[in-house]
This record gives sequence, C-alpha cells and structure tokens, in this order.
Amino acid sequence: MMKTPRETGACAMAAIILTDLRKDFLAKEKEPGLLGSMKAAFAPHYRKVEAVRGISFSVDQGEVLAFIGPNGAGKSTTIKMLTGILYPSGGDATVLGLRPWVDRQRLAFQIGSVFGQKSQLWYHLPAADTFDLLARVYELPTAEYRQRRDRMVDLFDIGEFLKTPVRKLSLGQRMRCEIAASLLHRPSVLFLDEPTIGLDVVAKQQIRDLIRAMNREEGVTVFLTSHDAGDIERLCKRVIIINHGQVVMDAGVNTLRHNYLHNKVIDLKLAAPVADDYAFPLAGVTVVKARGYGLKLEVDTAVAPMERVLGLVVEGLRVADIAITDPPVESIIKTIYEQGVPAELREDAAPEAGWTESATGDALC
Amino acid sequence: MEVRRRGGLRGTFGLISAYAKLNLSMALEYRVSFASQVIGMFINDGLWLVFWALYFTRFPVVKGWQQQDIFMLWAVLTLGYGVMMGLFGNASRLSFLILQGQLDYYLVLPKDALIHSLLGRMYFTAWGDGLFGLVVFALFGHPTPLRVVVYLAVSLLGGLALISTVIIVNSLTFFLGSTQVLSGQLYNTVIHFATYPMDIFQGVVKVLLYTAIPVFFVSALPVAVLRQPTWPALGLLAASSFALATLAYAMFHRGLRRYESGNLVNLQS
Repeated sequence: MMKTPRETGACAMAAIILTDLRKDFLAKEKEPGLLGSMKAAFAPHYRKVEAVRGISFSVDQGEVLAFIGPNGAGKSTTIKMLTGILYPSGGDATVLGLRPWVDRQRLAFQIGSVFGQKSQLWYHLPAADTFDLLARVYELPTAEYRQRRDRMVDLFDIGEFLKTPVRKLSLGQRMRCEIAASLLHRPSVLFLDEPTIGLDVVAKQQIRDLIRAMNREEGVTVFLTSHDAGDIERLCKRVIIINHGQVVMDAGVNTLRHNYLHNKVIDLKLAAPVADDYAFPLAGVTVVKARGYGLKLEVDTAVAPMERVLGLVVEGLRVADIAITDPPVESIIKTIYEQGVPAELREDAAPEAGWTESATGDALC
Repeated sequence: MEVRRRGGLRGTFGLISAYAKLNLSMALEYRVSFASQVIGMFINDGLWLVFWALYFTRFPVVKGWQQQDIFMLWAVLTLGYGVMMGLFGNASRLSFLILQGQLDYYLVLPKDALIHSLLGRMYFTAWGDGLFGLVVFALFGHPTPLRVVVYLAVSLLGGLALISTVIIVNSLTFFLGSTQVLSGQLYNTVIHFATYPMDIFQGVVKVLLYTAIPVFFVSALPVAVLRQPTWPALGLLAASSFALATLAYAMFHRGLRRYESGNLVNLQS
C-alpha cells in the first residue's frame, strides 16, 4: 500500500507535499477523414485521459529533486499544478504550506519557475527591461532590487548582453537570463521544467553550475524536470521517475547511478568499414549498431572498465572520431521497464539512508 | 528580501504603469510602425467624421441626431475604446491565449492573472483612437470643466462596458472550446453598431443592442449622459458597466478551473 506523505510524517521541513494528486483531461476523439469530422461534429466522443494518477511524495526545503519521465508521463502537468496553473482533478498538494491553485497569488511571491519552452522574457526587448517589470510585479524595493539584479548579473555573467534584445541572444544566453529573472524575488522554491533543453554542452554545464550555486548559497529548493541524464547526475541527490501519471521509482541518484547509469554509449566513426555482424571482444560491451563506417557500443562499466574498452577500440579499429555519452533518460527508463524496478527502489520502499530520511520527514519532525 | 504588498488601485496603477513602459519600449523598437499606426488610425477616424459632416449637409437631422451629437458619439467611443484597448489590448486575444496555453506566464505571477493577461499587450493603433476622441471633444464638445469631467467619466465607463463584453465572450473559450470567430464577430458588431445613433435601429435589432450585444452601454447611454448629465443616468451607466466588469472577472476566474494549458513553444512578444 502506498504511503501518503502525511502518513510518513512529512511536516514542517517539507517544502512541497503531494497527496494522491490527480489530473484528468477530456480528449476529443474522432475517426480520421471528413466523415469522421462530420460524425464528431454531431456526436462528439470524449475520452478521459488520466495525466496524473494519484501521486504522493514530499520534497524537503533545500532539496534538489529530479522529476523525470518520458514524454507524456505527467511531469509538466504535475509542475503546472504545483505552480497553480492547473487545477487538480483530485487529491491535494501544498507548496510552502499553500495550496497552489487556491493561494496562487500569495504563493507566486515565494516561488520561481522556468519553463524551457515558454519564455518569460519579452522577445523584442532587452532582458533588463523584463527584470524591471518583474521588480514592479513582485513589488521589490528599488534599492534592494538593484542590489539583487547586480548580484544575479554577476553570478550568471549576463552583463555583456543584458541590454541586447532577447531575440538576438543565443539559447544559452537566454536561458541564463530566464533563470536569473526567476530568482530576482528570492524564491524559496524554484520549478525548472527542462531548463537545458536544446542547449549545447557548455551552456548546459553553466546552467547546472548556476542552479547548484543558488541551491548551495541560498538554500533554494529545486524541483527539476529534464530528459538529460547529465542534469540529474550533476545536480540532484534524489530522483523520482514518473510514467503514465504514476510514480514508478523514488530513489537516490547514487542508487540510480549504481543500477543504471553505469552504462555508457560510445559512438565511433571509423576510417574503414565495419562488418554488420561485428562482435566486440569483451564481455559487458554490447554492439548497438554496426553499419558501414559507424559503430555504436553500449558499455556496462561495472563489467567492462572504460579504460580497457577504449584500449581494445584503439587496438582493433581504425578510429576517425569518437564520442562517449550517457544513455538518455528514456533508455534508463526503458531499462527499468525491461529489467523491472528492484524492490528496494520502488517508490513505496523504505528510503535510502542519508537523503531520504529527511525526504519523508522521519528525521525532521 | 522585504516585500511590499500593494494591493488595490495603487498597486494596479503601478502595474499598468510598468506594463505601459514595457509596451511603449517595445513599440519604439519599431518606431516607424508605431508612428504610422497611431497617425493612420487618427486619419481613419477623421475620414469617418468627414463623411458624417458631408451627410449632415444634406440631411441636418437623423432621428433627432445632429452633427454635434454624432461628433460627440465618436469622441466618447474613440476615447473609451482607445484607453481600454490601448491598455488592455490582450482582451480581444484572450480566446487565442487560452487555446494556445499562453496564460501560463501570467498565472505564475503574483497579483491578478486577468490584469496581467490584459496588460500583456497594448494596442498602439488604439492610442490613435483615444487621441482622436480628445481632439474631437476639444474642438466640438464645448469643453467646460464640468463637461470635461463628464466626458472623461462616460467615455471610460463606456469603454469598460466594451472591454468587459470582449472579455466575457473570449472567456467562453474555457467552456465551449474555441470562440475566436464568435468573439471576433461580436467585437466587430459592437464597434460597428456603436458608431451609429441607436435611434435609427428598431424592433429586434434594438432589443439585441440593449441585451446580447450591449451597444447601448458602450456608446448610446454615455452620449445621452454627456448630452444631459443627470445622476440617475450616470448611475445607470456606472452600474451597468461595473456589472459587466464583475461578470467578466467572474467568468474568467471560473474558467481558469477548466484551463488546460498546452505545450507549444511560447515567447513574450
């Protein structure tokens, strides 16, 4: 039986508490073609879509939580309920003690949010102008606002392009401005919905460093959704995996890494063609794809040390280019489904020592 | 950080001022377009008055309305429209914003989501209308201090009735799905009928203009109050405008419960 946060004793130190939170949508369905459209016009048929199916967990103040899952899993819907954008269909949630959809305006003073695909910066104006607007919206005293803005400008290193219209910024520059904007009013909780989407490696790393700095220096609770395993590995101590609107795993990132992120993907471009039935001469290395001049290997580093794998690659193949990456979150989730979630990692299992004691509130109440 | 909480009118005016600065800055990014929009609308409105002036040279009275009355009708309507659509330009786009999930940005901000949504875009062509109304009243309205006060009051109350009607129809999107076409048609109908003397309409049309298409409160009643100011008439105008505004506010907020957001890529522009 799943435990609710209240049953587990989550209390004063929990910044976010979800209890059996649900959200349904009605989706209109029609048969393809004009005839289908005409039928639907006279007798529309609606299907109930359960986007979030009763999820329960809590997030401690100061915690950095990765909330991940494949497309359509219910991540964004959950975040939108927690920020007051959407009303839930059932269950309950509080953020900093406030019910978001009821106390949205009060809560807004205490939370920040960044939606990777929705900008809060005015596209034709410099970010500095949006900052000024937000200062008025959040009623920040002028002197304190300027001090805070200057600190954000320094920290995020955005002074050089603060006066450049947003439409002329790179995606990485814009995202740094977006996050700085969301932190101007010193929120206690920051919701980040795919903040690194579309960014290059350098920009991603900058964003991660900045999020980590804000968490460390100001104790900001971070609720992060991402498809990027790097975000999760480098930022979070705890990860919740959601799929089909349900929490399927709630575990420490160390546990996730130990169980799933020990896999690496090696993409090779070769100077000579490789046989289609090529087999790598080491256990723990799976050939994902071998065709023409391309070869893709998946390495279980717990079985096959990377040093040894690379040695064999260089010895046995004529390498023109090489790239080593983490498997995408989708593949981790796929792995979780293929191999099943180990009993100790299931979301209603006992918390991992260390971080989850506080996550469930047992150590704090 | 200590945060001040300024609610009420002061906070709202502060917010309007901040949005106005940003919208004006954005307009000035494309200053030629901005100037041409304002001047173009001014000229457009002027041509209508030229048309009416020519008309009244042939027919001096239309159902009791003279040239002076028509000029005041335009002075009231254009100022009310100019102020309301100039400041709350997103009112006519609410249906689109709801369907596209673009209310998200406004919903995560403190203060009222409807106010943010309306202020998010200001139409500068409407500023030309507002300026035109002021000029017409200054030239033909026989301004005295009392008449100026009454003119400003009835114009703003008529504008409030107009913008409230636009919000109500757009908010139907929460309940009925897309009402962009309906709201566009109603918007054009209100504007169209509001520029003519109400007395020329009879029967069913007149009933509609008093009820489903509340043109009476947008232009006819404000002009009547300006022509002959009485407390009961002004009270009726104020009451009807605020009743429409209250209904608009309630419908929007009730509709938010049904808001479904969306996942389109959005930018504030």
